[in-house]
Amino acid sequence: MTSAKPSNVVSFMRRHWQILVLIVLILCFPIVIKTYFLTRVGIVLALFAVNITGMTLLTRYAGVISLGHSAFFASGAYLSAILTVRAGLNPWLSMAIAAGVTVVFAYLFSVPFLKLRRAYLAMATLGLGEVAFLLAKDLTEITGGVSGIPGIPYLRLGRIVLSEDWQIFYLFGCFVVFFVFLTENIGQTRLGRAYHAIRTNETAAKAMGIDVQWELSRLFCFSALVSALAGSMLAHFITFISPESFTLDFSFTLLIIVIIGGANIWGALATAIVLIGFSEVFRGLQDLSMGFYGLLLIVGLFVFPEGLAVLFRRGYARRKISGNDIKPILPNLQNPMNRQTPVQNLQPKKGKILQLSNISKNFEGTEALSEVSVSVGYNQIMGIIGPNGAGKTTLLNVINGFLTPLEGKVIFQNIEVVGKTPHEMARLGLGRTFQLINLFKGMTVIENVMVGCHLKGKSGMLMGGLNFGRSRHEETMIRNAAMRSLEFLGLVERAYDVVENLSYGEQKLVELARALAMEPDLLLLDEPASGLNSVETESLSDILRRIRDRGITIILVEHNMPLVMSLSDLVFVLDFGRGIALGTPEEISRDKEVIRAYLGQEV
Amino acid sequence: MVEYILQFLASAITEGSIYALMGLGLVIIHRSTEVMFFAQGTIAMVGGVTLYALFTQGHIPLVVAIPVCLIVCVTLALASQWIVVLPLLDRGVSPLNVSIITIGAAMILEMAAMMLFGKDPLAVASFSGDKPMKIFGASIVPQEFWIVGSTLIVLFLTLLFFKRTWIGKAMTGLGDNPLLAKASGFPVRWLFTYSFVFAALVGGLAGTVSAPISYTGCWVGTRLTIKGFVAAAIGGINNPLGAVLGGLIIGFFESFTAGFISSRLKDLITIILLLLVLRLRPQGLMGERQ
Amino acid sequence: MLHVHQLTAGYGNLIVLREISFSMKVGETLATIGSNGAGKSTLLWALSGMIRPKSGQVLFGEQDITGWDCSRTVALGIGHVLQGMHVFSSLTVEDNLILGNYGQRSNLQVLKDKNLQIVYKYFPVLERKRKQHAGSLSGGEKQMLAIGRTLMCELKLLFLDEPSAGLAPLLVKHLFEILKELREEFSLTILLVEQNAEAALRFAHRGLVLAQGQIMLDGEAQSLIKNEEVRKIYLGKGTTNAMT
Repeated sequence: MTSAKPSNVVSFMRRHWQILVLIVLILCFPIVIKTYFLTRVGIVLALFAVNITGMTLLTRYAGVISLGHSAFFASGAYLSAILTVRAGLNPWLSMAIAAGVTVVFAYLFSVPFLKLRRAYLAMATLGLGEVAFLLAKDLTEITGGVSGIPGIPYLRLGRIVLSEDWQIFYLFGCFVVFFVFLTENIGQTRLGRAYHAIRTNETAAKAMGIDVQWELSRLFCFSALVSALAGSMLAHFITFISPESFTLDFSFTLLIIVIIGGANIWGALATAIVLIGFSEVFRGLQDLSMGFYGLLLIVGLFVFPEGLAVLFRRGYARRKISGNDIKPILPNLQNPMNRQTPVQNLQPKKGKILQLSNISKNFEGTEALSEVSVSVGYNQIMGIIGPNGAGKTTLLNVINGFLTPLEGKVIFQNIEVVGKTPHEMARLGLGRTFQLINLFKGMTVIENVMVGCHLKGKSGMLMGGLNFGRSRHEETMIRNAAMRSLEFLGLVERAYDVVENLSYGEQKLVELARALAMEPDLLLLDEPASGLNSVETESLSDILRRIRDRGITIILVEHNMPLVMSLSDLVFVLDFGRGIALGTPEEISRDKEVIRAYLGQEV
Repeated sequence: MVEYILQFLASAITEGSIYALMGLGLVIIHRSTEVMFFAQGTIAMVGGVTLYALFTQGHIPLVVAIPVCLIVCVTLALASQWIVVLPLLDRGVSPLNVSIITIGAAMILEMAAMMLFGKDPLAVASFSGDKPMKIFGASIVPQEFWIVGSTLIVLFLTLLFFKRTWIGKAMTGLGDNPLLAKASGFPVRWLFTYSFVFAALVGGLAGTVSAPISYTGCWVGTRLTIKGFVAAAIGGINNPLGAVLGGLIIGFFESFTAGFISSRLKDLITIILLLLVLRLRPQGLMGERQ
Repeated sequence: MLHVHQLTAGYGNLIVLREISFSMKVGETLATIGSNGAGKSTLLWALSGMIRPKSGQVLFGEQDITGWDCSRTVALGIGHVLQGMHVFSSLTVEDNLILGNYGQRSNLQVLKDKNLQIVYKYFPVLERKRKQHAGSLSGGEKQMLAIGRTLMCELKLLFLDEPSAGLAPLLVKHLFEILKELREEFSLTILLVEQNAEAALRFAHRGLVLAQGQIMLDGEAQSLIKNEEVRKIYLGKGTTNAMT
């Protein structure tokens, strides 16, 4: 990639033009707006904006609905207040401590509750918000009860006390810019895609190597941190806090802004400006603001189903944009450096890549699998066939780690893997496609495939957020790898199309490309040919052969007999959860047991 | 000591009845539509403030006023169903998101109530006087009998409805196996409507009958919704009997906490119960694992 | 009685059935066989109203029922038994049956009773267990309940989706015998989808072999049983005739 120094800065500016506009707006705001009142509005907006950055990632990207972020907001505010007023600590220090302690609270909450299903988690966060409010109201000795805590000192920069509104506004503006920058970058890169993947298809996300629990937990704590900082900021601005500011209304307002605002930060910010600006300006209607928000939410979602984010080009809600509008950063494919390794080229290995012995699995009393034993050698294609309900997908899920067998051993590349989670299996070199299309909706083809490259990257939230140096290099590498995978499957022209707009057959290929991008040693394919017409099936057959030639072992479950029989080196037949035959396609098609299993018997 | 316990018991049953009714409404709607109707408590509030308008301000006799309140509640619930819930479900919005949006509907109703009645608590006279009666040492006002009595009647009628009428059975079936319900040709949209009507009646009744005891006003809705919510969560999100049980459990915990420990912790205990249930048995006491 | 013309159906982007055409006479039993993904269940779903076809036409007698919702098709006497022994577990057997008639216009008590008697006559075990909760029935009994439910709606056309799935062979045999009696008595037209090709073809008059969403073969059931092609379609390439 060519990277002369000046163009670095220019490209940076071009990528982040929205931030620059934001900075300019923030700088100009107090200068243009002379009234004290509107500056206050600006400050309130800034506080919301900071909260919004964290919430957008949490709710819009990762799909976690939190009705209790007021708890973290309150925690930051109260801790900051208590530490400065009662313990006399420096406000900056107290802010940092408040944030840290809040993160601990968030983590403690996430451990038992984050694994719940979305609806239950939402209920639990509702409970959390209420608990915080009630504690603030009732622990009078600590929190001042209903009267709150007065006399909170202003922040200082050296000798300057930040007591003037414009000073506070600029300070908060800095926070806003920083967090918007951070979360924008996170959203547009590897982690943002991972969150989107988790939201749209958690199963597939796990199969791609994403440790869902860990990622969500970290994100949740991040959003708590951000809210806590905003809470501290509130305390040092109004110099007085009381429980009133930390009710369900706050959490709900935040949620509405993020929902209406749509899939990216800018939409949410725009919504915040409209909603909060409006309600603050028309102070007389303050009490009616909640009703107004409610109305806006309902109307907004009918008129603007994607949220305001459609107005902003970036972000994942890009359905209506044609490919020409986006300048793709295609790696220069003429450059041999970029085409160095075609997808995979493993040295042929000897021995068995996968060994299953005596696998049994029950579902509520019925035996889905019983005593299944089979092994697959490196570089083979093994087909698994069997009538409906024979347990084929169950077997794949056991290998993949989605299900734990009751009995039996699974040895993958000489490692015992029973009990490993799907993302751990992905890390060990296992790729998977699914029976029904499990692509990540709302993302383009290439973004979907880039999720397959998730494990190639290592940037955490901070590095990903700052997005320079190693992190950018990682992004480029992931993009290149994804492109190569698409090339291999002939999908390059569709790279920037949103995945829902593709035909069914193309979607199946994208799923395959995504699994290939993981550079797996073993690929599990669940009915890759279902729904394909004869031309597409031919093409699939060819592709699978090429994949095997690259050194990847394939196990495929299929109903399309001509395909399986012509492609497989080995065929394994399941019926009622038992292996009834193993052999070459020739042998299997003549096996009496197999024929009986498929065609039935006279009854 | 015994008098205290009986007193707490009495208030437990009274409060618990209201929460039970809230939970019941939520469960009925959720069973058919999978939507958590967050405006349930607000509908109850509507019942209460309408009663205030008709009975206290308008001096219309109860016999007329209460049915009118119920009609208003049903109308608003149906409006939410047709304007908000059904269109969004048809567009493929997930039930969880639709549930969030019903919060918006609740907010609008609250706003309307605030515009019409202001923010102050509204007093509604008790239905049959305020003279407390002594029962085994516990002091009980007549309105409490109205509350518990009407709750029992509602529960009885509900049981009858679901066990004896074909609509009730069809609604049970719909909650049980939506696929089969469709294949059997059930008029699914109508069944949805019946659930909303039912929830509105139950909510409106709770609102009107409890107004004299605990002041009514525009903010009452949120609190009631949360309690109903917790009741449904404790009992099992699809189980009507569970919701009733849940409501009573909350009533007990609140009452005895307030009595023996501190009344400040009353609401806190409810939330803690919620969090415990969600963590340990998310499907509720009587729900099935999903 | 049933005319299907160029029916195309699927789910979302996925096209499962491509321009299927066939007809059925009154009293005929048509068995649709083929391996999974071939579109067998989708066919029933598109005809009864569980999903809307993407294009094509469906005629029931003279009536165009293309895209009709389940509540309307049930009213005409089209019953659909879903795959998987579906019942309303928390309701009694009798309630399950009577609700089979719920959507129909004529909810006359007389008709209900008459049909109930018919169901009990052919499935005596249901009468014995009529006050029991359907969830407590065995698999076979649930299947009978599922079929009995369709009999409540003045059944003319019956869609059976893999009735033998998950049932022991003896039970399957018993079930098919009862079905034979029922179709004799009521001149039922039956569209049957089955994985167990032999049992299905022995029960039916005609057979349809589906693969990849299209009709590969259409002919007399008897002749299909002996047909090499069928085996090939199921098992890909192969040589010996092991179906006899």
